[in-house]
Amino acid sequence: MIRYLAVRVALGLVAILGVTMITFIGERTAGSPVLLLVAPTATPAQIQAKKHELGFDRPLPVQYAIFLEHAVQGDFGTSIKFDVPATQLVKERVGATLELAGTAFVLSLVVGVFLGTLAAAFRGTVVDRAASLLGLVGQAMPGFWVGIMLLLIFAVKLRWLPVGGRGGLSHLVLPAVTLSWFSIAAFLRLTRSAMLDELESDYVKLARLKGVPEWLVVGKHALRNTLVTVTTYAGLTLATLLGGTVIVETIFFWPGIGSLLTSALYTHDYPVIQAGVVLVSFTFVVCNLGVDLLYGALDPRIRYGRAA
Amino acid sequence: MSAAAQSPDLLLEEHRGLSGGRLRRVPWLPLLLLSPLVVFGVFGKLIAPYDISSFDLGTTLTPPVFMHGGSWSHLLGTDPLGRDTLSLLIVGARASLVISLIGVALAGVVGVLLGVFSGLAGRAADELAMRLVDMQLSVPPILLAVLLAAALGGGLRTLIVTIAVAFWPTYARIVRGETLALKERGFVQLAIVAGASKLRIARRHLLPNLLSSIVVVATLQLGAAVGVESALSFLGLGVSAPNTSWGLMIADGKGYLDTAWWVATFPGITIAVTVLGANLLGDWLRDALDPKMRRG
Repeated sequence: MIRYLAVRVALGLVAILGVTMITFIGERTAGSPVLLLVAPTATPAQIQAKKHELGFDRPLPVQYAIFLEHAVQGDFGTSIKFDVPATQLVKERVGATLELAGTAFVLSLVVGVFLGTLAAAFRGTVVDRAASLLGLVGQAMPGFWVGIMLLLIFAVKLRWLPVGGRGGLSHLVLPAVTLSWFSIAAFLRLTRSAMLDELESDYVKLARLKGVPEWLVVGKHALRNTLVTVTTYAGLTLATLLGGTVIVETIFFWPGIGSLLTSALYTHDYPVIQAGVVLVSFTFVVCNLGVDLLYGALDPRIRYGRAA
Repeated sequence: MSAAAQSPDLLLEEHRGLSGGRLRRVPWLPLLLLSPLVVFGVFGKLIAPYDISSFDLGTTLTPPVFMHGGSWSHLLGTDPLGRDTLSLLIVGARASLVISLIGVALAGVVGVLLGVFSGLAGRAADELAMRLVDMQLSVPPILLAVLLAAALGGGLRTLIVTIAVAFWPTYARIVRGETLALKERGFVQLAIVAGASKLRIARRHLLPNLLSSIVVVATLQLGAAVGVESALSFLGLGVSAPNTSWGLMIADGKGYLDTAWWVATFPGITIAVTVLGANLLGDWLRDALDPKMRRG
């Protein structure tokens, strides 16, 4: 168990390193920030001097090592655009992203599991077909487009909800629904099939024979075991949600890490990109690990470390 | 398990590839749903009713034909530059088709090679390859895609590489699992006993049997790739003007939702139809080719 944990943590760290490396290479090849930092009239000599000052004239591995040394101490450098420490910018935005992703997570879990359970309980009926169709079509629609359609209907045409920004509940509705859209469909399909498996099992048959009312058989006995399956998927959902914030926040001008990242990408503000990316990847790794452990705790049949 | 312990029937088990009577019924609905991608993508400009690079300021903001003020000359309306929405859709399909096909194929080559290698080359290699997969899966895919696209600088080639990088682990995992299972089967065991080289085993005995799973994964990923392409182009990290793609159209359309809602709406519907078609075709192929295969 401890060995399993150690391997997972190590892998996660290596993955985060890999991400910083991609970002780092992007920083040094795509758009050189040096030109943004010097006056437009700067001579080649002045540019060279600035490069030297920033350490850009040293070999790439050395530059990367220096970057890492600072990064592990929480120093990702200063934002080129805003001229404040990148970590500070990211910190200011964390709350907004957590609010959005958290709401979307709860929303997708509750709605998805509810609809999936309903579909399984009424297998083969209109309810089942409607829910399954919703799941199938919902998963096919691109999330960002769903967001724009919701924007079109509820903000532009009906004017019930604001177009973007962060504020009260009304600001949260559209981005949260957009972000959870794909996951609702995924949870729905997963819950339905897991629930159908459970409803075939012996303990369910026994409960029915004992005369337990059907709603209790489905809502308590079978649902409890279905949730074990659903939990494993929660890790993947977090991936979808955390990644999705990048796009959804951009659409709705939600002031979180995602929109910070995209705007930093457009302006080649690499210190901010690095800080944001490391935070998101780190959160993702931690969440996935947590889900794995939780899964082991929920289902005693699963033991990590032994048998591949 | 030794080969001698198996019954003769198992030893003589025939290769299960794409041939055989499994493809008798034609999946009309999925193919119909995929037809816009394929037909528009292949013919593109040839069948587009208008040239999308010429602006016609006389016909700006024409609504679709079924709305008040719409006209038959622009079935799906025009954008604020007077460009025909249907023509944009048709021309934009090229990017989606090329990028997702090549991207998924590239991912397939890398993933299948690594998967077979992982399954055949012994424990240490297996461990290494699978840890590589785990590692990549510990980064949110969209984030990875966005970073790669930004690092490589946008454009067609970048999108293809991005999709290949993001999608290979799925192939690797499934192929590895199947390879491990196939290795225990009679005909592979026999080939090993007969002294066939690993390369020959992989080529002659494993690949034909892996083909059906690979086709299923590729089909399902094709839909996902169309989604990724459009998302990146939407963010401005993919296809950019003067070229067009469905994602770019949605990005453009977002700017004039209040005056021309149709510009952002139709490409989204087209993407959804395409992804749905790919998903349904993948499901159908899975059932048709191998009833034992289950959703991962």
